[in-house]
Amino acid sequence: MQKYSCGLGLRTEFLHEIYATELKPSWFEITPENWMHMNIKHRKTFERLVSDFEIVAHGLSLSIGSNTPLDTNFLKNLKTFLDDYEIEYYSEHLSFCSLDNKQMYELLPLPMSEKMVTYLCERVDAVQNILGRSIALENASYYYVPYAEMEETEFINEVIERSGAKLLLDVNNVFVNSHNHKFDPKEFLNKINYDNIAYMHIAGHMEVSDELFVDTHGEDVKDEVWDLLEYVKNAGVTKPLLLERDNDVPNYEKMMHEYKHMQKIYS
Amino acid sequence: MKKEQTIQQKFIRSITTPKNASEENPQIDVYRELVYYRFLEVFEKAYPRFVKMISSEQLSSLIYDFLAVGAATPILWQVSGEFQEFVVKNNTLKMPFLADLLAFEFLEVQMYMRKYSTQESQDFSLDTGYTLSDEIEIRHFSHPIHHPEFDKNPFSFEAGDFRVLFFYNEKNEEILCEEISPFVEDFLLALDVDTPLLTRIEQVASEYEIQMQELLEILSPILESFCERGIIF
Repeated sequence: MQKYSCGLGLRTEFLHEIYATELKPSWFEITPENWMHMNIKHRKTFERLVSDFEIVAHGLSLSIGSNTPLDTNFLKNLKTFLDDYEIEYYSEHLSFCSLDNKQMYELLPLPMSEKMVTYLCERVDAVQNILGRSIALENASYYYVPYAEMEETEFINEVIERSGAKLLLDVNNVFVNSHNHKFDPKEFLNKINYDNIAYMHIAGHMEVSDELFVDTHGEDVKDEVWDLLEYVKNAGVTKPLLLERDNDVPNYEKMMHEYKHMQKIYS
Repeated sequence: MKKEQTIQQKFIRSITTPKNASEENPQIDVYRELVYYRFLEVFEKAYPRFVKMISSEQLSSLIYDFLAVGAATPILWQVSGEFQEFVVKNNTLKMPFLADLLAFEFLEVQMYMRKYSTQESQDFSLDTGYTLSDEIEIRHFSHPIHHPEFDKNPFSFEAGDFRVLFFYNEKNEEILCEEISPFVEDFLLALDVDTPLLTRIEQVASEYEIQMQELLEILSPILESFCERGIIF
């Protein structure tokens, strides 16, 4: 992917509108779990898109931070899917979503400890070996800190540097976390090693109350988050950027309107 | 990692149990709601008919009971299958048709998620041998879940033995179903590509002591329709 290239998260809500207009993003990001088995109504369009666009896979179910064995059957199926559609890039979340064979389908916060860092490095290595490709991990949004021996930036940097995984920097998550946990998002970003970034995410969040913002991906990107993106850009980051929307997904034209705004800011 | 694992286990326990007023923690509540609504959204999509037949309190209770047991599949849409098994096994709802309804709705979900081959449409001929497509499903139900009026008053329908054929309609990219008789089911299951239909019908007429012409008039349009829709090929 090229410098400053902008992508869009693919959603079934607007899948069938994409070829009806001239508006196209540079690339799409997909959630592989949603396409490894796909609804018959979406297959043809999906397969056309995959052959026409560069695709990045962004998973949800890996649960890299679970202290239970990796689901090798799932990973093998995932590898087959990525290979079949010639998808080179795969990213996931620095979180966990299952434990003791219980799936939550939500990104849950990890205890931030040295032992967890070491454990994550082992898991990244195992995942990369099975998938036959390097992975990127996203800084997740979190509303609760179950345990912390270190700062989040220290945790992220250590995992990324020691594991060899790349960082998927989610700018909205930094903003939401900074609000909920009362830290300065710019200071947070200053501590991130930008050289390790594979690509970035930007999305909307919901302001539930003065104390709580939730990373819903259900609204337009807020001005404060665009400002934070500009801050990252001004710091010299040129990595690809993706617009995410998962809830209350508008039609494609409106989605591309926001995409154009993103392009204008990030170019 | 023992300490970390214990922390994670405790956290999961907290977010998968209903809110307890004596243990209020707004941060935990956020996750409790996120997880609950994730499951709710999936089940509302997979079981729209079932969800309409029960109260939101009943559904909420079922989801929390299910969360306590846990979902195993990493693929979100498949969790509906685990929920189906759980609800039927721990049935506290007074719905005699519950198992049938959930099985019916989840089969539709499963069939929408399959990959189908493209069948060239064939001219129908009684001189040709046919086989039953392996992309269709025939299921037996004790309640007429497939009846278009069933949901209006499900308790008014009598139980019985219903055989329902589910198939993919390529033209509209949809899963359709229709009831078939036990006789037609047996006939379809015994189809053999090496035996022309006419020969097979003759065999059945002889076996059941039915007039050949009469049987031909009954079966021929049914089989032609199945052929047109790729149910037999």
